[in-house]
Amino acid sequence: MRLKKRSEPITESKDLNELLKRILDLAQGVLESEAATLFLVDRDTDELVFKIVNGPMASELQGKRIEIGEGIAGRTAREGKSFIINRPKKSGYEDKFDKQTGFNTESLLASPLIVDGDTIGVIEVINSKGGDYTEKSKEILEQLAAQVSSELKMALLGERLSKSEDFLNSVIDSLPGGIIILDDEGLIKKSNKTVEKMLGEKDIEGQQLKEILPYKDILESIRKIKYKGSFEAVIRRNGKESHLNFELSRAKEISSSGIEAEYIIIQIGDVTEKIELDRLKYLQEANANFVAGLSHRLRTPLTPILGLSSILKDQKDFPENYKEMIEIIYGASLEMREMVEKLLDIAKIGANKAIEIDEEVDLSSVLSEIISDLDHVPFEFKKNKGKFVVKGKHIWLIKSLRELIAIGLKEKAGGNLRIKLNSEGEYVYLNFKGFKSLIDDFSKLENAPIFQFDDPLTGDSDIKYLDLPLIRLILNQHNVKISVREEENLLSLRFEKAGK
Amino acid sequence: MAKVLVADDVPSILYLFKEFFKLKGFEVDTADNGFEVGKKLKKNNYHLVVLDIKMGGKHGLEVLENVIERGYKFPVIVCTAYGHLKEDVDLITKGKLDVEFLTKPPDLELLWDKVVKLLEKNAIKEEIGTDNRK
Repeated sequence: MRLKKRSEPITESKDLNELLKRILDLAQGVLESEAATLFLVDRDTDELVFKIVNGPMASELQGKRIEIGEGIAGRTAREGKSFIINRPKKSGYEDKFDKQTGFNTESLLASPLIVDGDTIGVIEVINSKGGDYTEKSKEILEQLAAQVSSELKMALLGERLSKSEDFLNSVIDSLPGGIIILDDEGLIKKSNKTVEKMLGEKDIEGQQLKEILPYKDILESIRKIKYKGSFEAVIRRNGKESHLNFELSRAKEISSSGIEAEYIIIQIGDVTEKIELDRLKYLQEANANFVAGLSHRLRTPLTPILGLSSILKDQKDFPENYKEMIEIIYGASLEMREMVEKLLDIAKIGANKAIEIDEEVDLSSVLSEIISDLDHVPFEFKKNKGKFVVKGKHIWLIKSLRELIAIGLKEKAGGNLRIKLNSEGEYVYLNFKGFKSLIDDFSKLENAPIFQFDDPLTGDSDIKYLDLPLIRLILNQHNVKISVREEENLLSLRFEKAGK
Repeated sequence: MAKVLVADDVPSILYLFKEFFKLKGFEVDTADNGFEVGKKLKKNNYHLVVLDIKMGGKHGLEVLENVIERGYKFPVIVCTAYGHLKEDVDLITKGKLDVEFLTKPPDLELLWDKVVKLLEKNAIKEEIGTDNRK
């Protein structure tokens, strides 16, 4: 029997090194960093090796070693978690290699490369050119780290790396937002699926950007950006407007033959929904302020009308027809007072302020009102005999149930809402089975007009609110059926995708 | 005869309160701005003051602060269109002045209940008709 000759360590494979270098370049470009390093753990010595180094100190650092636990990269390897360090000298941190090389580390972001629970290396970017590294930068680097790790794992498992191009594409595809990489002739060298979806185009690599985005203002903005920058633009396709945010940076690559080539990395985000949500939020607030102001202004003239008619109606020495007239004025002013109070409630709801609970309301009628507002939603209502009465303000209940329905509608898979009442007509619980992730999703939406109220009945703060226009917006995107089942003390709403 | 000062910058509201308190047997004085309130308080003794908050000259909350600073002890009914101002009024007057709060337009029966309540409470502390300025 012949012992199999031990092959060259897989981490020395030329293909793999090239691939890792390309991922590191991508990380450096996307995160707009002055330098980037990929370290691999040397298990024999418990050290981190500077495997691939990009940046001004590349030649000095290549192949150097640090102990695990030493410096930020060493800590990242030891603790197996990402670190963001902005302005490290302020916090007393001194980089050993800065001292040796004269390099000045201003900011640093490092993520571990983990395979099957073991840290096998660290990917690090240094000196963000666009200000501090953020949580978003960390998210991007961690995604790239995950891809490097999975590739290293494949390599360690002995799989061949013939598909490096496909792999790089899969890395770009996994990045949040759209990505286009152009060469200096404006040719699309790389793109991801998100950007193709955003632009409604397929197989855009190899095409000129001006063919894909035939908008003079966009092309002009890209041309004007000499180093890095961002701009917003509106594109129209299939009769629909999309607001896109472009973040652009230029990167230089020097090939082994010394030829310098410039690349333009463009990150594209679709902010159409965000703009619509901001607009709706603004309208909602403006509306609330207007209504509140109206309510206050109406109170002043109403005071003498109600007060004086109230005094007059108790006078006995008026002719009967006069008494009748005064009663009518008094009755009408009482009605007006009620309307003024309701106006203020509407304003409070619009401005998301808690209002007092002082009514008993039939929940079935509230539900019917809501469903009629959402008339194009297919729904079933199974009603039990008797009234399902809730203590609460009619208008508040409409609002809160609308919001709960909105939450249900947003969920792709649907969900259940159950409201249980005790004999006093108080909420015993609101059960959001299947909604947890979706409530979290809503909270994550940047600038989404989501407001948190204290539930006036329970004091809990776990109900999120949206307004009717937003529910409609959501309805336009989802085809959802609502079914309502009402029993003696339990109301269940089920939301599901129609046709599911 | 019990004496009341009513302060509001809307003439028709002043007229309403004037007629209301006259019918209830009060001697009524009026002020249409915050400075006027200060002047009247210096010259006269009142058993009760009915005060608007948002009015010309001096803001009602400022009037309340002055009343407390000067050690006046008469009860006050604050009557304003802005219900949310109750918290501010409470913050300024709590433990220092007997105050009832009403939102415009007030129910006159409720107003009268508050008047009676305040005057009875005040009468326990000091007899109506005596000098209630410090």
